Amino acid sequence: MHSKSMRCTVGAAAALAVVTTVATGPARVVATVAPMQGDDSRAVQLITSARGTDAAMCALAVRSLENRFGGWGRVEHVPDATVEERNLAAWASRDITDPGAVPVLSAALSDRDPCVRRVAARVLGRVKHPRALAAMLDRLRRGDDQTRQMAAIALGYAEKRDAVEPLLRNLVDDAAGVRMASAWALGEIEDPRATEALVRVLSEDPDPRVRRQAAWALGNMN
Amino acid sequence: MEDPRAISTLGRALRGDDEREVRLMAAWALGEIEDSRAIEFLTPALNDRDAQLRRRVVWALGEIEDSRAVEPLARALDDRDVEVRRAAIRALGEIEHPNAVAPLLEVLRDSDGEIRKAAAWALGEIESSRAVTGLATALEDDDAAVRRQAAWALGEIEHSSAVEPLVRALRDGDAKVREMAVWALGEIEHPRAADGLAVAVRDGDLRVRRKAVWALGEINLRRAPRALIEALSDEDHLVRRAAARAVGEIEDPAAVPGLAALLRDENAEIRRIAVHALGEMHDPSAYEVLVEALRDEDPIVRREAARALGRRH
Repeated sequence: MHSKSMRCTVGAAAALAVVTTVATGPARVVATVAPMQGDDSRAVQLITSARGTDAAMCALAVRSLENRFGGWGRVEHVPDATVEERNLAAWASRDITDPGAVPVLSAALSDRDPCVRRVAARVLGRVKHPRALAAMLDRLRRGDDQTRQMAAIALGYAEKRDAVEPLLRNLVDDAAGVRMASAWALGEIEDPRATEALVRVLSEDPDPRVRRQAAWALGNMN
Repeated sequence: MEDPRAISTLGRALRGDDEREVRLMAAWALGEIEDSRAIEFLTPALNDRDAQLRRRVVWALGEIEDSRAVEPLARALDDRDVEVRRAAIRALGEIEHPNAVAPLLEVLRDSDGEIRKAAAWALGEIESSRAVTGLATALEDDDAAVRRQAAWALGEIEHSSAVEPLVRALRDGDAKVREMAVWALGEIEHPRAADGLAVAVRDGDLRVRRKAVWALGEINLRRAPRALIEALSDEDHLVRRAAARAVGEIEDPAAVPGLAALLRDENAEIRRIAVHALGEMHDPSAYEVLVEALRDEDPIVRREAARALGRRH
C-alpha cells in the first residue's frame, strides 16, 4: 500500500514537473518526442504528461512539490533527466510571461481528467499576463461547476488582488466545490477585504468542507 | 491587527460547530492568527473530550506567545492524554515565561521519561536560575536521555550554582551525558570546573576528551592544567587541535614546549593553530620556535609565524 502510493506520487510528480529519476511512461515519452517550441506546445506537453495520473496523488504531488522543494522543478538534481525534461521543468517552475499557452491551459481547466485540470490551474495561475487573468475570470464567471472551481484555484495560485471581488461573489456560489475553492483562493491572496465574507461563510455555510476552508483562510490571512 | 469578528467567529466555531474538522481547523486558525484575544476562546476548549482538539488548542496557545497563556497551559500539563501534556510542555518552552518554571519542575518528576526529558528541554529554553536545583536533581535521573537533557538545560541557563552538580555528572556512566556536562561547563565558564574538566580530558571517550579540551579553553584560567598540556600530544588530531586552541586562549608559557612539538605535526592546520597560539604567548621561549616555523613547508604556517613575530617587535 505504502509503496504503491509512493509510486503514484512519483508518477504524478514526473507528470507535473518531470522531476524524477524513474520518469516512465508518458512524461518521458512525450518529453522526448515532442520538440519544444512555443509556450503552447510546452503546455500541451505538460498536460499530456499529467493525463491519467490519479487525482488525489496529483493534488498531493502538486502540494508536496510546492512545499518540499519550494518550487516545481529541481530537475537539475536528477542526473538522468533528458534535455527536454529539463526544459519542461524549467518552463513549469518559473513565471511564464508569454500568453501563448493561455488558450490551451484555460481550455484544460475543463478537461475530463482531474489531474490535467489541476495542473492546468497551477500553471495558468503562474502565467503573468493580463490575458491569463482575463481567461481565469471569464471561466470563473461562465464555466460549469467544475470549471468555476478550477478557475478559482488558478486565481488562488495567481494571488492577484484583482480577483478578490469576483471570488467574493463565488463564495455564495450554488456549488459547494466552487465556494470551497473560492475560500481557499481568498486565503491565498490574503486580502483583508475578504475577512468579513469569510467570517460569514464560517458561521453560515451549510457545507462543513466550506466552513473548514473558511477557517483555514482566516488563519492563513495574516 | 486581526479583525475581532474573525477571532470571535473562529472561537464560536471552535466551541460549537457540528463538524469536528471545522473545530480542528478553527483551533489551528486561532493559533496562526497569534492574537491574545484568542486566549479566552481557546482556554475553555482545553476541557473538550476530543484529545486531538485539546492538542491543537495547546499548540495554538503556544503560538500566541502571551504570558496569559501560561496558566491554562500549566493546567494542561496534567492532561490525561500524554500527547497533550507533551504539547503543553513544548508550548511553555516556546513562550519562555518564568511563571512556567514551577509547574515544569513538577513535571520533571513525572513517571514518563520522555515527559521528564521534554520538561528539562523547556526549562533550558526558559533559562531561569530558579530551575537549577531541580535540573541538578535530574542529573541523577534513572533515564540517561533525561540526564543529558538536564545537563544541556544547565548549560543554557549558565548559572554558576550548576558547576558542582555538573562536575559530579562528569563521572556519569553514559558518555553522552558526560559530553553534555562538559559542554555545559564550557558554557558556564566558571574556574571551579577546571579540576573536573582536567579529569575529563583523560576520559576514555573521544568525544568527551575533545569537548573537555575545548571547555578548558573557554574558562578564564591563568594556568593551563597539566592534562591540557598533555592533550597537545593526544593520539586524536581533533583533541590536539582543540588543545592548541585552548592553550592559546589561556596564554600559559608552560605550554610552549608542547606547542613547539606540534610544529612537527603532520596536519598543517594543527601547525597553523600552534603557531598562532605561540604568538599569543608573551614569553621569550616562544621566539625561537616561531623563527623556526618561518621555514615550514606550508605557506599559511609561515605567514602566521611572520605575523606573530611582527606583533612582538
